[in-house]
Amino acid sequence: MTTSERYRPRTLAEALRSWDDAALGTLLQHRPDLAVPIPADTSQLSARATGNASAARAINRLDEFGVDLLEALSALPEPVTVADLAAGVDQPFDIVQPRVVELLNLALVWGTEDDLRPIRAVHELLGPTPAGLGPITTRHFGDLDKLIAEAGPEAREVLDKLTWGPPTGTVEKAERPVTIASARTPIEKLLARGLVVPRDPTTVVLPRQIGLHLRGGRVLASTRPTPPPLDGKTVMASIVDRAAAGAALDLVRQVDRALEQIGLEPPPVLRTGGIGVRELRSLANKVGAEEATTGAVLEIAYAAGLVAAVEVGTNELWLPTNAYDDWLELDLAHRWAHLVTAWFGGLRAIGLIGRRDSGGATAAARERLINALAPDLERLLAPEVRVLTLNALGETANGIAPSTHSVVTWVAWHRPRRGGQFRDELVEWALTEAALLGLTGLGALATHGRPLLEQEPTMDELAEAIRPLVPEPVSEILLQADLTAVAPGPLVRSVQDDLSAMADVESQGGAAVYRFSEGSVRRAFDLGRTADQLHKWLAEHSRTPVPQPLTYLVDDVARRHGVLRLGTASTYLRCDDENVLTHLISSNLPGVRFRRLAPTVVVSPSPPDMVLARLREAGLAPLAESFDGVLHVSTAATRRGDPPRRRTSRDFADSPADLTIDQVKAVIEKVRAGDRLAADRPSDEVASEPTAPAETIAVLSNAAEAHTRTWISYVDHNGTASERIVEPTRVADGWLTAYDPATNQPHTYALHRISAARAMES
Amino acid sequence: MTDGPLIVQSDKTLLLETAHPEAGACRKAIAPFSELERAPEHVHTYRLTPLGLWNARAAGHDAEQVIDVLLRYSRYPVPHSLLVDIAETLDRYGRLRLEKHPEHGLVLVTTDRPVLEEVLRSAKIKPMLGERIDDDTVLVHPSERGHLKQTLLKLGWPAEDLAGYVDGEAHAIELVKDGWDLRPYQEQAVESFWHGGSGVVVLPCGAGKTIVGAAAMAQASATTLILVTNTVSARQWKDELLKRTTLTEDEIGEYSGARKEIRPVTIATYQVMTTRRKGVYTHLEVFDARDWGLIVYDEVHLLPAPIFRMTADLQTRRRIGLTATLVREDGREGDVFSLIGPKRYDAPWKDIEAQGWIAPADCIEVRVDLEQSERFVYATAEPEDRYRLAASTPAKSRLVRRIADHHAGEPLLVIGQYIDQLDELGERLECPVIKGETTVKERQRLFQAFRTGEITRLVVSKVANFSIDLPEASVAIQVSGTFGSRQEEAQRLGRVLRPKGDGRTARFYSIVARDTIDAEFAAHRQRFLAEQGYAYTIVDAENLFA
Repeated sequence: MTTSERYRPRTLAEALRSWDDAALGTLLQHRPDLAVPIPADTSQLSARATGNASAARAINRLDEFGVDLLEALSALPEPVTVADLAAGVDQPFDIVQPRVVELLNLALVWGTEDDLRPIRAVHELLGPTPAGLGPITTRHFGDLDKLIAEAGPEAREVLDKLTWGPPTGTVEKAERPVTIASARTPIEKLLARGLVVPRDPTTVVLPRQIGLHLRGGRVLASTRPTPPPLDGKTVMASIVDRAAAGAALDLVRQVDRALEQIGLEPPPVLRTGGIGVRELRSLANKVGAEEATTGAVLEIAYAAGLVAAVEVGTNELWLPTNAYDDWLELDLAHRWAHLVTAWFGGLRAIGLIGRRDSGGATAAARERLINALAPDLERLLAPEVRVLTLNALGETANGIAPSTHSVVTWVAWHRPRRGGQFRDELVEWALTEAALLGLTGLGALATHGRPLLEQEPTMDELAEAIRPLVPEPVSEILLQADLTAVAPGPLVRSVQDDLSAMADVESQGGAAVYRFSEGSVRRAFDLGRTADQLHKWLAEHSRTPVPQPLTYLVDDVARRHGVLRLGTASTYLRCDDENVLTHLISSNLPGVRFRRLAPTVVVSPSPPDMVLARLREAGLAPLAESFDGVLHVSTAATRRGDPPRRRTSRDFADSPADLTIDQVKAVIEKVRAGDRLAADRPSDEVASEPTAPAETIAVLSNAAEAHTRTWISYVDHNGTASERIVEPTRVADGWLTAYDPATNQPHTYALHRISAARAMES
Repeated sequence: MTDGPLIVQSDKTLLLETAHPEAGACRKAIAPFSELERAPEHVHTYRLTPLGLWNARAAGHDAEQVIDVLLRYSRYPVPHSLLVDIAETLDRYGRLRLEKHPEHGLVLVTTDRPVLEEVLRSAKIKPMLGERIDDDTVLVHPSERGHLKQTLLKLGWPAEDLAGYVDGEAHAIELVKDGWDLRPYQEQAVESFWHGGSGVVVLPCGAGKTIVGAAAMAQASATTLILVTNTVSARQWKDELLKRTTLTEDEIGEYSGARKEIRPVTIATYQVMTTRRKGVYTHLEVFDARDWGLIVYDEVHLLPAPIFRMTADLQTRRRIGLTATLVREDGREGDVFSLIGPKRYDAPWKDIEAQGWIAPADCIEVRVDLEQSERFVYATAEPEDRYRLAASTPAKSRLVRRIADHHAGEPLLVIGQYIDQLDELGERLECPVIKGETTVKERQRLFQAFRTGEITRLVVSKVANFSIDLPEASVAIQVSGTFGSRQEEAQRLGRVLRPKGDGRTARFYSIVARDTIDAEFAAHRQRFLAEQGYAYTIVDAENLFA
């Protein structure tokens, strides 16, 4: 929109009412939050646009120069014209004017080009000292230069310190009354002339007029209307693409290996979410990558939905998902594209792995290191910074790998108010991850990374971009006498599956080296392959003749494979007379199946008692034996159940019903014992003091020798303390054995639970 | 995507498809900075290691060249991380240099100040250095030259040693080329070594390492100390030097258990050098006995630890190491690099074989079955006895006899570990047995007889593993060995790999008891053979010669 010269609105709402549809459309596109929920009328739209939250969002998306302009605007005394503003930021009018229009379009500033007014929220969001300038005073100064000169050179030094902000200084008794005549110190001279004013009893502040005057009319010392340059090393463009593609293929492979491994040995999900450090390390070992890389690989796979936390029984485990199987069906280029798109839009700040979570809710959470796949890795800023970082790489001249520092400053210029140091870290991580994903090679953006610079590329576009660099899958291998098979490129899936069944991966990359060993060939046999099948498969898939040692190995393992067999059976029957067994098998007993293992041995999956019954029914006289061959005589054990407990009136009575004689006795005994204890008990002061362990043992040992009664204070395993009088008989191995007269039985007491012991006079 | 012969793997191995038309050129290009790990028939595996890259750096290759070679020959895109890693690793060599300062003597100089700061902070480095002369230069205690290099290598900042060497006491030595000449690769090896100052020459057994040593001595023309593995080897060096150089009997001394002579050229054994009496190395004076101008280390891969320590103090002398392999079973390749020097020359076995210097060999593994009774004994034996039981089964002796009969008249060696077994074999084959107790004189007599064809069969124990010269053995039968050592396999193969007069194919039989631990060890050794590119077949005993 353009501001009208004829019409001067009095409020933003009024201004907005005069905007045409296109202008309003632009506003809503740039500040989409204004449209949710749909505002009822322009006043509401205006109210929302001037609200702090929405304004903050808009300001945060401004680049450094935009923020500088806003800051200068809110610092300059109104009314401000574009020309004033240009002078304030010390940039040519032609550069400033279009940017002002932008701010007007964003409704962060309203008014006309000769009376620009930032919305109120801008003042609030930029703070009380925009551009490091103090508050405006109402005082009238006249000739400022003269006034400053009069205050003297020392005072001038103080002013110089305050000029470029912060505009405040700490002094004692700032509010003391001073006059020009009574002023002694430089501060007093300044205070007397109003060149600084007291803000509170200990702070003085430089008024904005003075500050602006001292700055020579400029609001900001320096501004950068264009982003800082991206510079770095020169790299060969042809190498860049190939190096990047190498990394891309590596990543696809690593994701595959990591997920395959996770599928085999699923790591548990931590209570706090994520995967344990130890599990990650062991996974890294198996994948053959560094821990940090493996963490990133998992995160990318997670973003792509290839791995998820799944509840299995009572546990939660990390498992590959169905999407992983679908992903495996894709060709290499599409697999890569899938990962890239997932990463690009994902919220995961992967670089946080292994750090402390400074944003944690509790102290314990802040102390904890963040694990890979943990839920607390999500950051809204992450995808935004990723886009900017790639843009920075895209902006860089061809054949230049921009230095990390220059990318960081470039991104910082574009989002000065977003994230601070965290933003800078995110840029560095985005660069690392882009290299890992093969979007960059040797630090420069690869050709196949460029589609990401446009609006939302499709998976196919990305895949097509990298396709020329992706090797065609091969289905032939080279077999060698050292029992290795080399796949000279990525293998067709079915061939890879077959080969992995019979050989172990030794080296991976563009090609793969597999090694045959006794163990690996045996594994193939265990999976049901036969020697003939293996020979045939090898001959069919090898580009070269199958080496003799490999043929020999397969035959050698086959020779021994399955020599020993095992299985389960519930019952065995042995009989020295083979004819009996032959008869038995042919007689088809109802419900019992037999299998003959040897002439004299037959097994059955039916339980022994059932087989026994059927055999007896058939008129045979079998004898049962136990596992070790001992005769097993079974008396017909008739079975009984426990009677149910029935409730009686007693259960509902208010008072305990009559006690049995035994119960009464027991109660009395208890009481008596208590009395005795009370009588025999050492005096309170003495008893309350625990004895030293050594002393306890000494007392008890002596008592055991002399058979004297001893008072002990004992804490049982429930933590209940009790006192007893016992007659110790033995103290050894940490235990006291003693006769307890109260129960008329010997007892053992753990020595460490005896808190005190006193010998009693006999 | 190019159609190159090389595949660069992310685990830093390089796969070279040998059938590719560019394979030869590619091999030449990558050889300087990568180590050949396996060379089976179709795809050779090279590995990039920090030491390999530093060896290349020492030879003047830079990161750009290395990366360019990889990209030029690579069939698939090379992972970015790998390129970065290579560049960074290469860049670490030479940031620190040992130099001779005109005023201060030995100094450590850096081209990258932070690196110097980093190593100066190391507590291990600190005591080896003197005061700091300027920001980039620190004084080095001359006695610590070797230790410093060792420690810096461990810190990942290998120093380039440009401090030079003392000339030593001059002594005229010349090659006597009567009817023979240096082979081209030997000449190259000597030249590379001399140019580099100190370092290791890697040549396969039988490729004439002794001659390379002699030529290096002639180049130095100075008093020389030669360190060899044992006495037999010492004698052979002496014979060879007498034959190939102008040196006379009086000029060559032997410093061994038996004799203690110090002459302008002295050959000392590792054994005597590492003998200790009451914890003190009693023969250290050899190192100071003369102002040596050159020190030759034979079989560097076997260099014992004490010699390393002594070598650390000899850094001002030129040093040449000779070996068939840089792989040390104890993993001390780094010490060889820092104390003797970087690899100066390396030729893959197969290449030299193709040039006709080494007889091609057929490796055959023959599997014998234990008898029923033996299998029972084996199954119930203590684990530590099992190998011996399996390795010395009588079935092997019978088979050796069969093989020997098949190759009647050809020079044949039987190699084994267990003396009982060897004695029995000696009886069965009616031939002499060389073992630990055989005197050096007797050994030499038998070797000589074998050489002249007077006897065609010889049974030897592991004493024969090192540095013996049996030029005409064309059949070797291995009946047992120490537990699957690759080292040993290389040596044994070397025995039959010596050039044959008539270009016959050498045969290398290993006899292995089936389904025992013996077969497991054998698998380990075979892998090495196959990796070295030797075709091998496995045959059941009953099918042999069928």
